[in-house]
Amino acid sequence: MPMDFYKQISDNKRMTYFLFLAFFVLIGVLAFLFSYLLGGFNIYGLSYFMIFGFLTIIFALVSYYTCDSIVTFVSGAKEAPQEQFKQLHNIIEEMCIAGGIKKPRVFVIDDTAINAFATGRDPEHSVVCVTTGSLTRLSRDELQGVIAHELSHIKNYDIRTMTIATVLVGVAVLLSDLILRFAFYSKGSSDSKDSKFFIILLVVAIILAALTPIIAELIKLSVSRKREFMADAGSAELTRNPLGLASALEKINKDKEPLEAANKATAHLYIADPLKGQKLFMASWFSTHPPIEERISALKGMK
Amino acid sequence: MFRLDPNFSHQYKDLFLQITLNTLVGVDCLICFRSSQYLFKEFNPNLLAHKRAKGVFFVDPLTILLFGIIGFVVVVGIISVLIYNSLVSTLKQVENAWAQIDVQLKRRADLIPNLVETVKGYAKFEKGVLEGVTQARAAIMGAKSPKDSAKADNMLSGALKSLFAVAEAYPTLKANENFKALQEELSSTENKVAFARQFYNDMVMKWNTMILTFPNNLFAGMFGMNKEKEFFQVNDEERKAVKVDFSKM
Repeated sequence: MPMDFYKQISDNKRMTYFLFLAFFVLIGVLAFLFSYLLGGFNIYGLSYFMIFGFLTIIFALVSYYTCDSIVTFVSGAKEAPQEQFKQLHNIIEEMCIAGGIKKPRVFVIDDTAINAFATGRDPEHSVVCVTTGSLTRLSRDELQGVIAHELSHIKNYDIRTMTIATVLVGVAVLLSDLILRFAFYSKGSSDSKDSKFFIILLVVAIILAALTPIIAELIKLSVSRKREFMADAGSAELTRNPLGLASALEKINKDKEPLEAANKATAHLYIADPLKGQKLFMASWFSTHPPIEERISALKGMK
Repeated sequence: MFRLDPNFSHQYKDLFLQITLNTLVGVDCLICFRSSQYLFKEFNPNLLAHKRAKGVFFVDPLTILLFGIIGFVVVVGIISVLIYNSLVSTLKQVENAWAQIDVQLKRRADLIPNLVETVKGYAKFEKGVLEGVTQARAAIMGAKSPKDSAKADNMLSGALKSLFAVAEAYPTLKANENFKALQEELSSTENKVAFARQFYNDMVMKWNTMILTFPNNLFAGMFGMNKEKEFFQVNDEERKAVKVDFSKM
């Protein structure tokens, strides 16, 4: 299908809405079970929830507003002056014209691995960072595809989306924790028919509460993967040359060297998983990025 | 602190607002329908008096119908304001995108004198090619109509292509740092012109889609904003490949 990135973009947007709906359904079910089991709102549970829920939101807001400075500091990235990195700045300016967004601040990481990331709460406060390895090892078209992918992330407000997803995970985990703590205090009913149903519901609630941290994290990782596909399609929309990014991803795939500056906390921001097999959970469900082969074939299918 | 950005709201706020407003319109229509049904078919004065006597909170159907109609008008008013605002802001985005193309074209024209100076030093370089570039730039500066400037623009692209093709034969010129920097600048500027045109076409697509989809199409005509814009297109004579003619040099 020629130039089919529009469909990919709208499909992934729709999937994001559904996944967020799944989040709210999960939290709603947990909240309902919580109030039902306790026969009403327990003041201890509620205040505990409100304090930690409030703290979660504060942490999320702080990280959201300072993400551009924090991540660059943690990764050891240095600002890239225009005189030294003329071609990189030119490529970024070209992509900003194609996307109609303001030019982000440009940083480089001194590492031979090929990787890049973008962060920032909106296009006015955004940062794009590229490794020096990418500058030497990628051709102009490939580098342009990578930059376009990062700028798509900024354009689509993906940092905002992932922050909201993180807060929702936090809220779901808090609620499930509450249910597990207060399960012992739940009041039964004197009626025998009611109490059987109550016990079944209690067991279901405990199982669900135990599994919620994993379920919520899986939903969040699924959102992350959908946004990666969307950024790939967005890159094709900006450059109108999906093969550029496809061959850059092929080069990244062949390279087994992990990026030293990355760690588990920042890994999800990069264009390809920088940890390359150092993680505990290697299954694709637990991955922040879709498998590279799938991304390459999706890009090639757009041509 | 929580400024609503136009791009962001296009993603989330729009959907939320649309759902809310459409639900309100639906509920409103239902209220009007039911109350008018009650009024015209099942109107029973004894039933009304009976219900009032019972002390149940009861508003008579005529009042409900009137409120329903007023509510409907208010919601439609809100919808039309929102649609008008989004039409205006998209129209301005399209106009801005068109202006950006000229910015890049001017930038390219401004880089030419620098290039000519750098190349002039290489005395053996074909004078004809350099003259071609200078003449093309003059043509752009002197163009009176959009058709003239499109022709001159094409001429400059062709002249630059032949200049860089000929430069391949001059290794010292190729190695010259100034020349390399200029080459990258000019090729980047050509890309920027192309991307500016691409962005304009994307905005035109967004505008045309916006004025034709429901419910905007109902209001666009009312506001006088239902004219589709033209895409930036290369016409047939420009599509022919530019010939690099060395015989004239």
